[in-house]
Amino acid sequence: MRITIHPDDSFSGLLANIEQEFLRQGIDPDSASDCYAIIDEIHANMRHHVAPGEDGFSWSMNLMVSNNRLIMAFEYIGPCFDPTKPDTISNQSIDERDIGGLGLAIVSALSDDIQYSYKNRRNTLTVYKNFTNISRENNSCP
Amino acid sequence: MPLTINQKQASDETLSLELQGSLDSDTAPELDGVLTDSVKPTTRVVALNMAGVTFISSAGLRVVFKTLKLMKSRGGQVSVTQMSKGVRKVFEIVKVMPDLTVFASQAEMDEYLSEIQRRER
Repeated sequence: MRITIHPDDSFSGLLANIEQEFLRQGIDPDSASDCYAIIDEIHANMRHHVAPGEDGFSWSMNLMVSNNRLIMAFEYIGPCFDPTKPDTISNQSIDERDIGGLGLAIVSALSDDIQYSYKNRRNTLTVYKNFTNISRENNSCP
Repeated sequence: MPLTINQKQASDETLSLELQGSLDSDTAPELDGVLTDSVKPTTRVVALNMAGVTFISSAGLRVVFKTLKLMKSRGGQVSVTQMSKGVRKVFEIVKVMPDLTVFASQAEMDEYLSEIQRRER
């Protein structure tokens, strides 16, 4: 499944498409919830930090499944930006630290693997998430 | 997934909300708006029932953090109950669990809020 996303696209609209696809693929609810959070972090990061404010800018999200592993590939043309090195999350009490800078750390912690490449001005972030296939479980013989 | 916010109860010192749906970049501003409107200068405890929260991202966390910072500045707290495994995992990733007051059940949280309200009278 490949989706082209524009900065004005809402996350809820994107989520509606993804939920259907996840159901179709039999992705278990816990893994699906982790993936929704990952996708929202990347979506918000693209909208607020990467999108240059130019008409026509878009990025793509390609969802693939292989051997109970969901592969989420995000691609866009632009300056090199490697999001795989998130800030360390502070151990300080909440009243002693800043509120921001959590998104990429959440992506990193919730994913099973994450890879980044930059070729010919194309940024590609690939996030891997293992899941339990509940459709196969439900269809198996007792 | 849309977010539904039900106000379960409120007093001078307490505000209790029940959340259902996702706390993401689209829906977090709704919770922020409700809290901005409902938290009074006297509020010291904000209680969140998260049984119906399907997932939370950093946008939702920011609203919780903002509320937590405000309550702590008043000597108060944010209490949560019935977090799903996934929501708890995200709170643990950002290392905020020590700052939250976590109740095992809504009944336990209700009892705590009732005790505060009895003291108010």
